[in-house]
Amino acid sequence: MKKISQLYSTSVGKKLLVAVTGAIMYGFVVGHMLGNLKAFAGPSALDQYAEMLRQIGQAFLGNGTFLWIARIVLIVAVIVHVITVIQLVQRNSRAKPTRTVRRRNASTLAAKWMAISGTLILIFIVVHIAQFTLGWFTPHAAGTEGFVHGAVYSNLWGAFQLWWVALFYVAMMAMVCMHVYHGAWSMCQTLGLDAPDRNAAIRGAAAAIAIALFVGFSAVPISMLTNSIQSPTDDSSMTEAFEPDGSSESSRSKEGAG
Amino acid sequence: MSQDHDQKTITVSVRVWRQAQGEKGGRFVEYEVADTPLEASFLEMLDILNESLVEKGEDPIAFESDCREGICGTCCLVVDGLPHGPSQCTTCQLQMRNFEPEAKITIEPFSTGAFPVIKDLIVDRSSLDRVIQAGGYITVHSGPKPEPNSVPIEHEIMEDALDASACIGCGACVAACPNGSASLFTSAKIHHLALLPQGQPERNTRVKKMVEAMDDEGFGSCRNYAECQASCPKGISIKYIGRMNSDYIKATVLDTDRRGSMHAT
Ligand code: HEM
Ligand code: FES
Repeated sequence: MKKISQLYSTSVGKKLLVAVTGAIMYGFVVGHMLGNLKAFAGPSALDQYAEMLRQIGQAFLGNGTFLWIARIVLIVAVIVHVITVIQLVQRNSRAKPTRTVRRRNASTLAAKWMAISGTLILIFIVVHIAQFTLGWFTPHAAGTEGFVHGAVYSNLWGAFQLWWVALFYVAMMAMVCMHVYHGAWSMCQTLGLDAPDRNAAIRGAAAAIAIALFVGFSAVPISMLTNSIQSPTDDSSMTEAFEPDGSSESSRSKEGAG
Repeated sequence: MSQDHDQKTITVSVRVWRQAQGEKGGRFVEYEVADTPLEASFLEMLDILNESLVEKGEDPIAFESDCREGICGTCCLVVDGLPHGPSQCTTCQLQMRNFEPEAKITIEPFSTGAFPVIKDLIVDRSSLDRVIQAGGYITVHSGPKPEPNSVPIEHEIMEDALDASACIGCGACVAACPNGSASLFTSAKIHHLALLPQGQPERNTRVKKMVEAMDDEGFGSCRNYAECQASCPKGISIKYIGRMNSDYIKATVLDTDRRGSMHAT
């Protein structure tokens, strides 16, 4: 604790906390994107995967506890990331050149947009949780099922039949892509992991992962909008998959984990 | 006066930031500098302008320079929005032949949050000196000196330390940084010592003290834009910033002094 407060007292230490919390979110975002691809295995596969997440560590902790631990870690990471960034930006606005110095364009657009993309991501996180986790804000196309807790696939389907919801998601994923393109490299530099002999590889990996995130995340809304993926009603096992409690058989969780 | 445009002289007009000593604000004043020899350096063009101002009984433009050969780091002008101007060299190495005839050139001081203007184009860069004072030194014993070659240093590491020691402390990195950060300067000053055996005794305290001093002087925090590297007349790499970060983390998180203090009860 003393060391964290010591770190927090300098700008380099603050930047380290931005990098570490960024890395936690980065890990989550990559895992989330891969998890979403379960949608292509069919409605029940996605719903079972979601149920499986609730069951991780069930034997020790009880249902949903692990999920809550992960959620708390992520919420703390977002809060620390954003508050620290705001403090650094305030410091920088006092320190910056007082006259019109031009850039030599060493910085990429993604670097210059970090605060913009970050703010949009923050707004997105709030909307996204309100929409699919809490069910407070649930626009859905006419003729689709309304929001049902646990019916992950059909909730997504109803929302992404609306072009503007799909567009909002794809646009926000472009922001995530930009943010982590600079962020992943910047994190390595902040942690002192970059060096001239690895720079090209780190930059390349940051770009590849950023593009993979954009493509992977956008695939679900786009294929639901264009009906090029199974509709939830095609899947006979769907109703069973989101039965509130009857899904904890061992066969089910094994299937979900695989 | 006849203008000879056959590559011998050049006439330019300059917009110069004028700020009286002790005042907060200033303004741009435009001057025409006619028939400057093409072989003149940028600072010589300003000398010519100042002579004519003195002849007219006006206050000459205050700007700094010393060696005029790119080694002392005293000269520091923002030329057309770029610290040290369009070429990657110090302001004193900038030549009038780099400019088009009839060019309109804007000249500003290196002013940032931590570099307040003293007068016209002169800023107070003593904040950089205080960062060095905080830890940019090594311990030497006062007895007879060892034979220098008795401390072997790997060639690559020596070159690396020399690259860092090329920093002339001009402050272009701070002036170029959209965040007014002195990270490139501070990291170079840390690493020309930290890379060598002689710099090891204070390695941990040095990085902590210099990072703290950098903050105390009001410099900004690095956001990894790399504008500093693009503006450095000595081509210093941002790799030193990464090393400063990792050294700082090691010094703080893996704090080596585990003994703490004792109470006499
Ligand atoms: C999906 C969630 C997010 C991920 C994966 C993420 C990732 C990262 C990473 C890895 C860094 C680099 C850290 C460093 O340079 O040391 C970073 C920096 C930053 N993040 Fe985030 N971040 C996320 C959300 C946010 C949010 C919600 C904001 C809101 C304001 C934000 C604003 C920033 C800013 C301004 C920086 C500093 C950039 C710079 O120094 O130039 N980020 N982020
Ligand atoms: S005057 Fe010495 S470096 Fe320019």
